[in-house]
Amino acid sequence: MAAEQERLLRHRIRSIRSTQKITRAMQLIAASRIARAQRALSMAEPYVARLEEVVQELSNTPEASAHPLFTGSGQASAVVVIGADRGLCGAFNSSVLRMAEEVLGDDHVRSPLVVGVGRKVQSYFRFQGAPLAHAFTGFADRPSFEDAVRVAAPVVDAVSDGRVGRALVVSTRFLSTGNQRAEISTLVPVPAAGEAGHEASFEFEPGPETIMEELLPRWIEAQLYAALLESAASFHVAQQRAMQAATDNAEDLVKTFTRAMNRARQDAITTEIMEIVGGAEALRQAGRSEDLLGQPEVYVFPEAS
Amino acid sequence: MATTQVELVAPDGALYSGQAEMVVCRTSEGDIAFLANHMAFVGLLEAGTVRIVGPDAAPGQAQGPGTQPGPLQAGSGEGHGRELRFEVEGGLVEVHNNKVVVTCRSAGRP
Repeated sequence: MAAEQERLLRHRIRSIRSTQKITRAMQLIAASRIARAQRALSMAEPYVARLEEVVQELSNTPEASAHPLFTGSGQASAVVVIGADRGLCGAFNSSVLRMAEEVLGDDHVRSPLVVGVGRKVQSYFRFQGAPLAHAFTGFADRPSFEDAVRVAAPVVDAVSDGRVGRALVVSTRFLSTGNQRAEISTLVPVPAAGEAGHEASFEFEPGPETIMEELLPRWIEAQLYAALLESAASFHVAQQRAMQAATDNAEDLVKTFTRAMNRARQDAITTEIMEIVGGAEALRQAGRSEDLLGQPEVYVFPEAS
Repeated sequence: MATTQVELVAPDGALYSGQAEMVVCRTSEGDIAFLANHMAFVGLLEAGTVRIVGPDAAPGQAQGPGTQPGPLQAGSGEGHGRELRFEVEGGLVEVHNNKVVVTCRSAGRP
């Protein structure tokens, strides 16, 4: 009985150990990818920041401020939901998806154009019976600028031909290695910056329309690129943390089961000894009952004499 | 000589950030040069070369082998007569408050 239990436990411990090897490997891989993702993020930062500056500056000019990038004409909204391609990353995907549901349930968001990034996002919306207008998968953990351009394309089209007046992004912001949060950010319209009355006068070459036509896609691409990079970095942190927890948990389980296994083995040994002792005692009892009037029960220890 | 702040950035990194005497680039309307205190300006860049004349900083390390300091760098100190050249593949140039910002999709040292 106890021996059987011991065998089962030994088997279980072995299986936990091999799972632990996998989770530890995943943890280390994720940790190394955090650094890479952060590097990509810091490389992109100047581009995004400078472009933001340009857009802010132009929002003060009379020529450009009438453009849909700043006015947000049109009723419908475009929503870009950025998640991950894979799971095993704690609540990373579910917190983004929960926030996306919140946004899509909002009354202000009418007939939205939903664009999803990541296999998990795609399968979630398919399961909900509301497939995405555009789904992009396969690069969520390592996005390139070209990927951002592809994701931006349907949004840019919808904004420039006036189908949507607002473009939102639901994604995980990478605030620091210890702090990531799912957030909603607005790509379009860009709020006019600065003080009223402070009108900058710019020389446009070529005309303002052509410039704004060029700036709109650049702006959306850059913003999405930043969002994709932040999401990827956050994904790796979430995965590292989840796998760390799994590895620790496996360690605890191994400890618990090892203790149980040792007890089971000890039980088996005790039972066996009891059986031997019991058997011997039974034999002795049987022998004694044969010559009840035999020698008195006095044992003399040779050392004591 | 008066200088202007110059930022040349691409999505994969900042290529130049520092002061310079002059920036020459090609917009859709033709070549244009920006000296210090140029008026506010926005233009579309054509694919071509952006020249940063009299730079005071080394180019950023955005890309691989192309970014090693070339012979131009080794020239006379003082920043005078030196220039950095970057090949850009279209982009935007914006000038205001004595600052020239070039944002381009991809750029490299020729």
